[in-house]
Amino acid sequence: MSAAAPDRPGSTVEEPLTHDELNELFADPPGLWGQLTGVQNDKLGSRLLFTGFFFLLLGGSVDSVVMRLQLAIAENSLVSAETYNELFTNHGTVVMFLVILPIFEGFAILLLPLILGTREMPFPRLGAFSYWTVLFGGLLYYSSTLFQLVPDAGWFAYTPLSGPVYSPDLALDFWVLGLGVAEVGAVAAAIEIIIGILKMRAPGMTLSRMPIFAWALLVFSFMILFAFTPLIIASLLLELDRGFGTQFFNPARGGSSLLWQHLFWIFGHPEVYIQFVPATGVVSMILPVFMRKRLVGYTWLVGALVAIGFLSFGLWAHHMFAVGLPPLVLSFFAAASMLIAVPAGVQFVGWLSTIWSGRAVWKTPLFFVVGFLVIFVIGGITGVMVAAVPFDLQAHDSFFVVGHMHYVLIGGVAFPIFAGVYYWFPKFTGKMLDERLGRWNFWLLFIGVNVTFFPMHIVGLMGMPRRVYTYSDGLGWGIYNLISTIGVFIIVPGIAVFIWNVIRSVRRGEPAGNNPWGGDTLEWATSSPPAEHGWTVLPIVRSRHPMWDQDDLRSGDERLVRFVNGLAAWPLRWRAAVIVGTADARPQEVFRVAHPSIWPLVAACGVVLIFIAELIKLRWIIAIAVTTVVVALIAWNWPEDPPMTVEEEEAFEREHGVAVNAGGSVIVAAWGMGLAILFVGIAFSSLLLSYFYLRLVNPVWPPPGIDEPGLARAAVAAALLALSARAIHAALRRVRAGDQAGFVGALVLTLVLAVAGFTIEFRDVTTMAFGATAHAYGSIFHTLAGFIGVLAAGGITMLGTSLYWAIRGQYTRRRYATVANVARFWTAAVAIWIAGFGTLYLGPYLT
Amino acid sequence: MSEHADSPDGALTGAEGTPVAVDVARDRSARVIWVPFLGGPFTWITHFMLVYLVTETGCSGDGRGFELFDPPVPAVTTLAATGIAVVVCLGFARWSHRWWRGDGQAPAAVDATMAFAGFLLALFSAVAVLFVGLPALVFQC
Repeated sequence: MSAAAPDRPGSTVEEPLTHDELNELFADPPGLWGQLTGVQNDKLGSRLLFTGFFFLLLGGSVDSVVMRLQLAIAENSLVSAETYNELFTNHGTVVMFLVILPIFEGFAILLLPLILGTREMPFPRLGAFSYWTVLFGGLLYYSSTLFQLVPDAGWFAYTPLSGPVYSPDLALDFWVLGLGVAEVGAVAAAIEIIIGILKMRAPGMTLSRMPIFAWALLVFSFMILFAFTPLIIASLLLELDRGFGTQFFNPARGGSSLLWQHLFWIFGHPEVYIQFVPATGVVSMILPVFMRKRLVGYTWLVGALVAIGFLSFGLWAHHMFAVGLPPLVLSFFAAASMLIAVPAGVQFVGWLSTIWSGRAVWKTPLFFVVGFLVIFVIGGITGVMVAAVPFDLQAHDSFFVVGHMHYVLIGGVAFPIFAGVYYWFPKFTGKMLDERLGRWNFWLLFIGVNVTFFPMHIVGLMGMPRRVYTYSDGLGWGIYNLISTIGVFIIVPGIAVFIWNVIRSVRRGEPAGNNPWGGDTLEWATSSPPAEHGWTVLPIVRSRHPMWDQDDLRSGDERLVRFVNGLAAWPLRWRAAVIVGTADARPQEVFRVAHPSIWPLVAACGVVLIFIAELIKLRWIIAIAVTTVVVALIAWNWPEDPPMTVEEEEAFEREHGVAVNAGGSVIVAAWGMGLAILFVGIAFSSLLLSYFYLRLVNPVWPPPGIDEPGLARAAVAAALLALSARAIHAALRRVRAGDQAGFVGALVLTLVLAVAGFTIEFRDVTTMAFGATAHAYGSIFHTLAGFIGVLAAGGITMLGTSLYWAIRGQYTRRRYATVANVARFWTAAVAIWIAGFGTLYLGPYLT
Repeated sequence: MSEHADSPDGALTGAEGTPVAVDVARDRSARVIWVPFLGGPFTWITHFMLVYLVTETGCSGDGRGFELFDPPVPAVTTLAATGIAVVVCLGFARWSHRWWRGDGQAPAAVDATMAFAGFLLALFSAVAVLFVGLPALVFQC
């Protein structure tokens, strides 16, 4: 195909002399230290991919083979019922949390800088932190096997089965706490990806010139933020029930087991689309290249992705159709569940139209894409079937659902992942994967998947329930189960062929060249493998298909040309990257991306230590762990001397019209803080939703024997906090005006007001007449108050640190981005304080 | 390149002090384009959460103050909210449509692709709101 490849503009231009110096600047240190401190996006992306595949082999493959062997014949006794419970719990958990998510986040961090035409991700250290937490969380979860404490309550851990009464040992704590660490990592990576896509693109790459894959990853990342946060809160509540005796999920004490189901599925159903959406992005990248035809309906597909992102948050209760929800509620969720087939259908029409109007070049990535189309459409249609309430009541918890889900997740997600690996492997290794082995890989998987999972639909409709370790002879289920088991033994060699293909091709694969497939997007303009910094001269984008439509990537608006050339030649002794306008992609700011650091690893160790301390119930260790995290975060963000003087920054700005912040980006920092506030806001909303849900199921609120809380001290505390929020903005005005003394004075006032308000409220809550363990009312009161308290304590720590640096003269009229960020956080924290304590104190009076 | 580049000396950042000149707050057009683009889906999710919460409260809640939500309030609220949300979605569709056709005062950053995508999303959201809300004609709870 390469002979017929369209224009390859990037490869024909001579690199400037600064190429090697930049390459060295963006590289991580060598050796073990480099592995521990590394932040380079290729390294982090590859690691996430490998880690995802590693967990796939552990949890996705071994468990499923044993389960299928157990079910191959009736009344089999290969494994016990207990072991079978552990197997299906582990299988679902690992695939849903530790496989697909790290793989797509790996794709994102690996590919985005090249696809978008930028040198790095915006927060390299956050990327490293994300990787370490995903790895440590996965290992913590998996360490349960070493202690023979494997979780066995299903991947959704329904209460009361997962509660302290029915799962009294530590197995479920491994589930809650191990995955909790990994969830933190997933959210951190999502924040990094969102800012990367919206603010770090090549000059000229407007939103409508952005590859569909980037759109998909943008939707994917926002979905992670909105879906994983409620799960983190749900996990917190479950662990509080298990470890501290709260009553959130205990109906006998005012709790509700359905609250868990709501919180879990608010995460759980979007999670399916979190996996599916980036997979469709991969398909939309690959299909046009191998059909040698532009993607039909780009605009419609962008709309479809956004629509799926929104609709997926209105489906969660279709997992709860059988629990007795009111019919009108059922109809809302059934309607939304069917509606989502519309944008999915729009995507299919776009892909089929592209195939219809193109001419296929049959290479392995295209085989997998076509396999995706065939298998996923079956999974999609059975999905619409179970969206209908009457059908779902028949098929609920049967093998029909297992068949549906695997058609969706293997056809809709795994096949695009394989397609993506075959497609981008040459870019990052410089070697082609073997085509012959690729065909074997595809056909074994395609046949194996259908043989394994299609019979499950039939046996499910015949009545076979899921999650049973065996079944009676004579029910007529045996032949279908045997066929399914045979299918697994077709899939296994398929995966083995893939692994062999990767190993073989890394060692002696055919050299790839820059653009072996004739791709249309920017990554194919770079060398294979790419330089550490990706781009010496940033590309100038004038088309959605720059490699097909542009004669070269270095011509365009005269000022842009001067800017990208200036950047390549000029600020060479630091890691310069460019921020662009969200919509128009015009350069706004040149800033220094963070360099390698050990602190993300230390912070991740601190986070995992918090969870381990809770797991082994040595809670005094939590204090050490929290201190570790705080110290690591302060050191991580320790101000460094900018590599340029203000005069040098202004000189560049005068020449090129683009601001320079060699000390660190103002814009990236503001966006990062904005998304962090969004994260906190979603967590707070989840707790607020829990409060109202518990109120709903308790006719008497507060319960008998508990008085309504007194309002006076809470009102004083809230007033002091509100004043502190005003004071921090006064401080900002002073620093902008160059009034250092006024600035420091206003910061001191902010801190004093904040500490005073915090102390008053702390005293009020800790002297309440009721505790957190007698009734769900006390549980939610103290948990919500604790959440707000932790938030405020974090804010006060930031204020204190800012004051320290302000006294040392760190902030000036020009450089005060950090304190501006602290002001944003503190304002949000105060707003949450007022809304949260307002609910807690006024709620009992109002309802 | 950005606004400050058009100033006489091209260096407003230095004169005004970072972050003012390069803060995204100055990039207003970039923010405005998201409103009609995401307005339809936001209306849909707002409508969905509203009718769900009111119905859950009216049909499942029991206690002081909840009698305000007793039937037929859930169905009536759902139908009223559906009507309003459809109108809002169509309003966003019209807004996007004007930008797509080049009739309105669109910011420079808006292009036809984004405007058309917003138009499609708003129309689909209107249909989706109807689809979710109309069962309230049949069910009281």
